[in-house]
Amino acid sequence: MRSGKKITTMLLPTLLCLFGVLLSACGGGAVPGGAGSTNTTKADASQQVYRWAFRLPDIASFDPGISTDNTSIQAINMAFTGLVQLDEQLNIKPQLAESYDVSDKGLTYTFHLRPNLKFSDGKKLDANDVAYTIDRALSPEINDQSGVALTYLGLIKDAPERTTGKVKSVIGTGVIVKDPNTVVIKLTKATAYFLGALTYPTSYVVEKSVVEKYGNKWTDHLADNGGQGGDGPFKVKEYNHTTGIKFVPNDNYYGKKPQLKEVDYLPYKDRQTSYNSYLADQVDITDIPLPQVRQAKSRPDFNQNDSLTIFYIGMNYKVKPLDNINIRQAMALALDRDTIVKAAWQGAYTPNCHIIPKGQYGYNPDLKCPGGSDTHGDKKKAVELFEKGLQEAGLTRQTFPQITLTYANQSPEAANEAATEVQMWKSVLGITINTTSISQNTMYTQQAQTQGKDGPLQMWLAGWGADFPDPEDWISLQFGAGAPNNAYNYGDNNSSSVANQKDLQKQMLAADVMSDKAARLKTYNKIEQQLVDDVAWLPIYQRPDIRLVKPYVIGLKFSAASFIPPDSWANVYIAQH
Amino acid sequence: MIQFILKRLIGLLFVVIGVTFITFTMGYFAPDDPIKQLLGQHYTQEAYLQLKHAYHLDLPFFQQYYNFLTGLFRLDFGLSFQSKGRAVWDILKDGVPVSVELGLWALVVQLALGIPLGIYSAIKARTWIDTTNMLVMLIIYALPSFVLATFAQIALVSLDTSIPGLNWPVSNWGTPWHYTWTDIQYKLVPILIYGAAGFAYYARLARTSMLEVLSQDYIRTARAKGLFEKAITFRHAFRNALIPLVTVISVSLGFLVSGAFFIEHVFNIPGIAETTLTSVGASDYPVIQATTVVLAIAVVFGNLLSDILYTVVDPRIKSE
Repeated sequence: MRSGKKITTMLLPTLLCLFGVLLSACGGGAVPGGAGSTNTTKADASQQVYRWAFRLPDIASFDPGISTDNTSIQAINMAFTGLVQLDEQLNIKPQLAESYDVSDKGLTYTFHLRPNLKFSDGKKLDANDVAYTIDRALSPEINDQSGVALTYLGLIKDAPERTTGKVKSVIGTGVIVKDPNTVVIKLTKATAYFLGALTYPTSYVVEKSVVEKYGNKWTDHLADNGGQGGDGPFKVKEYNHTTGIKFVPNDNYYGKKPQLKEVDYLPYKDRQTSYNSYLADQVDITDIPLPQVRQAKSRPDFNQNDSLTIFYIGMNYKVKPLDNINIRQAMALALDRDTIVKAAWQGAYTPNCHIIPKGQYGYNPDLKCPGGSDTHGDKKKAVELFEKGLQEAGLTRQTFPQITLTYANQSPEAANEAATEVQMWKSVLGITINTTSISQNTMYTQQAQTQGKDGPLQMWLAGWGADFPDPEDWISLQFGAGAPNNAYNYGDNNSSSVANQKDLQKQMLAADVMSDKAARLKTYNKIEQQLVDDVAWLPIYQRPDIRLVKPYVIGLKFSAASFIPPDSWANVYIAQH
Repeated sequence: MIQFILKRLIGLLFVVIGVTFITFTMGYFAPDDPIKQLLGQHYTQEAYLQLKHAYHLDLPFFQQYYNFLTGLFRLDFGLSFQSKGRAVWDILKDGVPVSVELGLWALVVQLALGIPLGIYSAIKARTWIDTTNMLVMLIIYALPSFVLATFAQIALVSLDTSIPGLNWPVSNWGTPWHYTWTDIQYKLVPILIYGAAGFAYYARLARTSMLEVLSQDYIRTARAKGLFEKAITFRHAFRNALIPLVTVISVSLGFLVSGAFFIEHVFNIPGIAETTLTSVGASDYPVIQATTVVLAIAVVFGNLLSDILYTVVDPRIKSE
């Protein structure tokens, strides 16, 4: 009996703990870590620490020349700056440059640097550093690590040859140091979007002496010498690949100095863990897991901004009968995007018909969905157009060919989206579209393979995130003649409207080089409306960035590109709480 | 004994080479391509070929394997694709100690709780104590670790942080191999959760093993001799019951380090287990190969350890 008592006393605490955990976990009630403070009085210096959770085990790279993902770029934006950068409204503003001139019919850009620029370690920064940085980003050693230097710097004279090693440097040809405060960039083609491309971190200035001293591992030494390598509003105090990055203000920064004393950039592998850590007051900002979005939207600390990312259905013009405009429009009108977003994406995203996303230059608030409808579509009109299209194509519903919608198998939500869309086509138009899933990598490959061909892709779910906020990135890069992303074969097909498509492609080329901003906007808006009517893309939703931010973090404002411009950090502080 | 260990170490070399060959071959013929992953939406055929050449992925199979193998002996596992250009060795160097720390502490929890509970159950076999104990163990064993981990974390979030002592962190790991109060706060819950599934398993195993030994003739003889039950249990039965346990524990050592995927994921612990799985998703073959080799080495060492422990537990077993 005595031993029986003992075992009970041994087991009881375990059991109680377990049930306690289960009960408390299942229980509802008030959400902890909630907002409530509206106090804007600045807290003590010791509390001026902003704990920023990001969702990855580590940033992919701290090297501006290599990074292409948002998480890395957010860190880079803290410690590095470029000649020009985007402000909160995504306008291009001189940054390291005090001003710039465009001459030679748009083929020459002359940048006049601010006086007395310094890196965070106090060493001088001048035009030679700008030239070194651009040449370095284009070098095969750096470009081969990401393969994207030409996306942003490809217009510079000799840039393509530099990436393959055919020329040893672009300094002196593409990038010329006129004097320590003046750098001249020569282009091979005049465009209106070169400055936009230059706002990307690829050309953010890096400190040559640090790069050369530490080689490939130079970013692991950004915290050495009291913080070195960059020139941004912050410098690196500590960089650990597993526990994150600590930033402190850079006293040598040329702009307005931050009020925060420290920013901790903290890696979270899982969105749910980051969210829970926010609720437990371990971090000041968090992503929101999809299942929590509905609940989170009603919280006062919910925060969201338009993000320059659009998800759409691609339709191959070389696949019959997808070359018929009435059938394309019918398929677009049969979809109720609002229902799709609710059914598949927890209502977290914004139903959308646009190609150029909300939040950037080029967005057209007056744009109409295909056939003059809205995001809900128009079932009646869809059926009318479909009947007409079938007749024109010499088909009936029974003889309608087997068409397959392909999607990337990386999330169950994408599968739900595809299933919802197929169901809508079935119920509205009476046709069966098959679905198949492939990996995201295979999707990228097949998109490239589909260019100029009737397969492997017929219809597919895809997304595009802006390289830089210029309409060219959404229009000419996607639908231009021979454009690398034109897997839809727009302007390269046997449809009856191909002549109009080719004409539109010519208008795209003209818009790309227009210097009058207002006229350019008007032209792109017209082109976009035509593309939407052609169902060149069948856009479904724009993905906003959604997050919770502690109400005591004052002044934090993300641009639509999800970044905080360098000088905007001066407005951010922690209030008493 | 030294000769035995040396033989085993030579065997280890062949095992590692075999493992590298299999992993490398699987990676080489896998349909996904790390360069495509790297280029993402910027994929073009030209960029693809240029990068493939830059990463030496256009070399013939055996040359790539030779390069990989020679690199391995220099502890150079190549560069990660996912963490652009970061040496795989650096990734291992950061992650392995954390996973080892989590795994070892979990093992301590598992053994310290599981074996005594199992043995006690065996002694009280077929009583209500035994039935209750085993039922509870079965429930704990059946609960997946990610369910326990998620519930534990939500429970921690629900704590009222304004009450002193309840301000308990719900994620992260503290400083590896440091045990200040803050570190312990970070580590305690993940270790207990990771230990939970294992301790139930060991409890059940210890019970079965002990019951088998207790039914042996020599135990009956000992009882007939009039020995105290305590002496029978601990001096005669326990040591023999340990033999199957030693096998299981040693083999599980390797997996203990790499098996904490869910725990590391949910509690945001910067270990290697999750790195292994995320690198599979990202087709980051250099990391997959390196972690597989580390796992293989850990398993082989686990086996070696179990062989050595056999001789300690049961002197009749000779290492030769």
